[in-house]
Amino acid sequence: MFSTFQRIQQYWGFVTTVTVFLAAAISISSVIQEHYFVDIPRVSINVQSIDVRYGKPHIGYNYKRQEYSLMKFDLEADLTPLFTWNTKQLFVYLAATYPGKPYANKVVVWDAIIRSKEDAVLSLSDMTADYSIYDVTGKFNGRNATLSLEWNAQPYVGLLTWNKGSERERFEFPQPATAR
Amino acid sequence: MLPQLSGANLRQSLTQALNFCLVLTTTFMFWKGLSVVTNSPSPIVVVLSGSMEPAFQRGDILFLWNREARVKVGDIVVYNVKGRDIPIVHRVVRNHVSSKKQLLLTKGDNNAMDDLDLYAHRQYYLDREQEVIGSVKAYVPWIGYVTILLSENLWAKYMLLAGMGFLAVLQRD
Repeated sequence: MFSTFQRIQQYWGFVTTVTVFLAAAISISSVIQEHYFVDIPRVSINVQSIDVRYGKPHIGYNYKRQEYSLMKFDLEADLTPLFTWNTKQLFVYLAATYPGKPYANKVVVWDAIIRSKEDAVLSLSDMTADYSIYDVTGKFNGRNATLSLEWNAQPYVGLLTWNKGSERERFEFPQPATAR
Repeated sequence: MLPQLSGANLRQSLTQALNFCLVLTTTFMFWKGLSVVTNSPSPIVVVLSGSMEPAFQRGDILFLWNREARVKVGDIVVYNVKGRDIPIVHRVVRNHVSSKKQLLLTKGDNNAMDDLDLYAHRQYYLDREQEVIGSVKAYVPWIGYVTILLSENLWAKYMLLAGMGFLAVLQRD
């Protein structure tokens, strides 16, 4: 009843139970805080320029020659209210959504990882997109598209959450610059 | 110290063995039950590589959910490329959805390039139905590092076995 082994076993059981409940409490508290007590941050996006070219979007054997698009944008956002005590990082990304037959499409053109509240104010001007957009069909055909800012809050422990800003910037894919 | 094969002791040993088997099978049931609930062949995974840093480090445990018919851009998914056995945990950066299927392109946060080179030859997108085994919904840091130690470090395995043997011998007293 009182052997060392028994004691270690009981102590270990207690430690693990308490840790599990603590982790659950931290996770639930931060999810509730994010959901009910935080206002969605104001976001302002502006497409400065957009370009459609024909060729390989990237160097590499798996990329086909097709129409691809590059853009420059301005972005202003204050994401500091999103940081709770359980926020490890904020993965922020700018995604372009555009329609098509048969596929509806969504592509990330720029992303950033914000690791602390101090870095959470974004003020980018004339920023080149990290990633080019290319379509499954290989052509854009002058389609309309919308750009929105979304984020994924990564906790220290618990549930991951996703959300997005309310502002959507509309733009159109121009015709390719050079004739093929 | 050595067990005597008298009636009472034999029964005791057998009961202990039976209890041990019960624990094993209950754990197995729990695992398979979780697989059914989440609709994923592997509902809990341990992070093995650093390609999603700083979000996930080696040894973190991820809980998957596979009942979403369509995954979203920005979700973190675990997938197996057809024909390969290694599950990869990366983020969805592109998404083309039709009523029949969903094509995805993924990229690790810590990688400079997207995963196109990881897919099969001439495969440009992942198929959500066939290759994605779940999206990450919850996360616990570094508890899984023990499993990485055990599988990669031979010393750790021997130490664990020696420790367990030592405890078993102690218990007899």
